[in-house]
Amino acid sequence: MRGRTVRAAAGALACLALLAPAPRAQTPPRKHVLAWADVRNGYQHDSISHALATMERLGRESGAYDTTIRTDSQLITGRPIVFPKGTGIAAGAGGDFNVHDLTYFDAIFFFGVREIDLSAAGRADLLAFVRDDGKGFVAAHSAATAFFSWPEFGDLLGGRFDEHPWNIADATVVVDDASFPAMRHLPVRWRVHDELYQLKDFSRDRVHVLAHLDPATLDLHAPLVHRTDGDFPAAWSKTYGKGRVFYSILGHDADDWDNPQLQTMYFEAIRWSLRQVN
Amino acid sequence: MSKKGAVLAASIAMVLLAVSMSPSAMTQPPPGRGGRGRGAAPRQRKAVLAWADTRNGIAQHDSVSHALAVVERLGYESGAYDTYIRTDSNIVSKHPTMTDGKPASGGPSLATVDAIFFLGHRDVPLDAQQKTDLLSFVRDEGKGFVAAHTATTAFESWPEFGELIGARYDGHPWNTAYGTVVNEDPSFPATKHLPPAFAFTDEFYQAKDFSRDAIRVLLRLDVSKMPPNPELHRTDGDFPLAWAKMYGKGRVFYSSLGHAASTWDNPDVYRMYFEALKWSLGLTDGDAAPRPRR
Repeated sequence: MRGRTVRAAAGALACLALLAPAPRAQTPPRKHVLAWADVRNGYQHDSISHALATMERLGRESGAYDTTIRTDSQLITGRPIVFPKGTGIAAGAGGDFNVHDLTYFDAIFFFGVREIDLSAAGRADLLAFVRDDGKGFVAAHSAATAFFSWPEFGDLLGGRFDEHPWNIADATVVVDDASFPAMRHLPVRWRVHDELYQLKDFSRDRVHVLAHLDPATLDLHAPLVHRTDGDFPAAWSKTYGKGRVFYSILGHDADDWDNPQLQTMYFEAIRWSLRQVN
Repeated sequence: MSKKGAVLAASIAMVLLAVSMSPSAMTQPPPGRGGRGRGAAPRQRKAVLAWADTRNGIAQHDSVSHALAVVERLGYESGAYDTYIRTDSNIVSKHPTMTDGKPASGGPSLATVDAIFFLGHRDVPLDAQQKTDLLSFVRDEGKGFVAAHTATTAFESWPEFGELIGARYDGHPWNTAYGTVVNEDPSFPATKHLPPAFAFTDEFYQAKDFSRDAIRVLLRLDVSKMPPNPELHRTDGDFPLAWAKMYGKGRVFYSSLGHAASTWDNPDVYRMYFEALKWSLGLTDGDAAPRPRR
């Protein structure tokens, strides 16, 4: 009885501790996610900033991860980032200067677009981050338009953008793997309203399609429809070397990111890529 | 109200509703947005560039991303403004370019946003034309400039930036410390919600190169309650933590509050920045005329 009272009191204290705004220290230590959306060389979707902020909030509120938001690619390096003298507040003082290269991060949430200015060394380090270090790579929507001139990026992501023949349209997403963490919460048939991408250069031997667009809900005679087999993936998972990769075509509009179903999909995909779930 | 009056009021309401839903109102797209979709009524939102280029600063703060996300959420949820988060500086220009120098393909720029929320750091890479565009954005076009914490460490070698923001960074003598903040202007929109004096813990930045003839101090640290510190350089005890000012036609606000990520979860702090942004956008009014210490 006394034990139960003590446990109840401890539980109440724990609840109070959770409610307290600070300190936010957690055990185990939080994972680190780089939300990377280098949009300098392409059309910046209006949704991107809201998507970055939403993924930051989901990680922070859940305690699953802390997020660093960047629209430049400075941190995409496996080597320490160095500065000219006199540029840092704490220069010369020693200690932690908080300049994080890829070795600090556990996963990347990628919402970039088109040709991104990244050096050969940066590209090699990005691939090694996933392939050799087993870190996560979760990518959204316009990610499939990125790095078209870099074949290995297609191998990392699993496919390429091939137009959006239906522009922003209604369609039904059919969940193929309801047991996958990022799909578990979705209805088997999920009505979406989004800019629907057609994908190319993917192989079902290499990607695990989690959900696809029901071709019966698409206009297959639209001018830019190139696929004749009706295979229009909406989300997939794959591994790249030791690392876990997730991609979905969804998330064109800012308010798509207010949809709890879409939020949960990307949030659970990040947790899966971080190996917080299997 | 008489029955006749009620009928009249109802018809006025109907007319207003009809006007607000008329095709001419509906075809006017909100600035800076593509398809928001779903047939939701378009909102006349302002656009804010949340700009935090920290690429040349060693002490990159872990709070920066959270601050950007909070500023985005406040605008999004209130409908006051939409935010473009950028940690590069390519669109800080009236003629933005891509990384290869070619013109950018549309999207936000100083020609399209209404205010900047600046959380940059040290030597921010802007070329001479971009610097000219940034000053002109505020001074000549009357756009807003709201800046936080590390912003006063930025552009040390660019004198005009000091005039824009109103002061320079001169260290943080107590690092992160507990102190008492004096609210010098409880009538200003960004400080209206704060009591005349309040306890606060933060990394209080010491400001230098400011003049109370040029800025209207809104918050200051009560230095008399702080322990002695050899890095405290001012002998008159004047230690501003937030101020408003005009730069030409534009409205400028700065506060040094916000070192730790959790500070941005404090409603007193995020409300201050949110109200400052609304003021800088011209959505509210407040007196930024300089005045002596009080």
